[in-house]
Amino acid sequence: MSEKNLVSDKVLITEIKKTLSKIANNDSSWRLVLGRETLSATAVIQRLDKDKKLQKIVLTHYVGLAVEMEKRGREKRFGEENT
Amino acid sequence: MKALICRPKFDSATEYTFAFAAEILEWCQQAGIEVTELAEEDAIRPAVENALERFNPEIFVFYDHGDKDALIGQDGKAVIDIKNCDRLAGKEVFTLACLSAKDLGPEVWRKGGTYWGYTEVVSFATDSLPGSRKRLIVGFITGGSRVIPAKMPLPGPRRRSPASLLSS
Repeated sequence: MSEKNLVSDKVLITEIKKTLSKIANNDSSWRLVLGRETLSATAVIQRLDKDKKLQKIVLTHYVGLAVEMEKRGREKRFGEENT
Repeated sequence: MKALICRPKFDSATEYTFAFAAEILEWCQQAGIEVTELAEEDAIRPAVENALERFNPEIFVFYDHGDKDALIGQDGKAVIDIKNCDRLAGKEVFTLACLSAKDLGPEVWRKGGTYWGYTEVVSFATDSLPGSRKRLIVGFITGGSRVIPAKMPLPGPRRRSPASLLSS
């Protein structure tokens, strides 16, 4: 991820934090399993500001998930792609 | 074909991956692969070394924690590291362990084995367990030298709660 992206990492992180805040309020059992660590939504929010490595991991997941959701939506609407 | 499946369980992360490995175990059994399992207290170095020698599997599956140069067992010590990875010569290794494909993987390869693993920390969120489960086990089923029997279904997303995954 870099500043050259259409949406900056900073904007994405802000949006991710909003989502995590909702999760923290609605689902106390939610966890991010990160190797040997298991983090609650609140813990992820707190770490995101300081931990660049975690930022990178979360952004990669976030963008990957967005692409997957878009792909599923497209397939649902237009049928499976032949690759 | 024979597979040795090693799956420690000693923290919250391994509770999930223990369940993932159970599905690999089940899949192997359905596919007619002879399986020996070393779970929890049995997932320690002497037992792994013994099983690799006596059972002599073609496949070694290890779920869970790892380091750059080791796969970590139930007692927190390495079950496989650079010192004993020659025991994996001629075998195919499939592991979910973090980082182990950095140093251990190439060393296993140098000793004549095949290594399917991760160079980074493995992560997943508990609200995406069906997708994560598929992502983290499907590589074993579709990868490597295994021949998938025509009637064997690939694991699809199952709508299971985290609690049901943990109890499986």
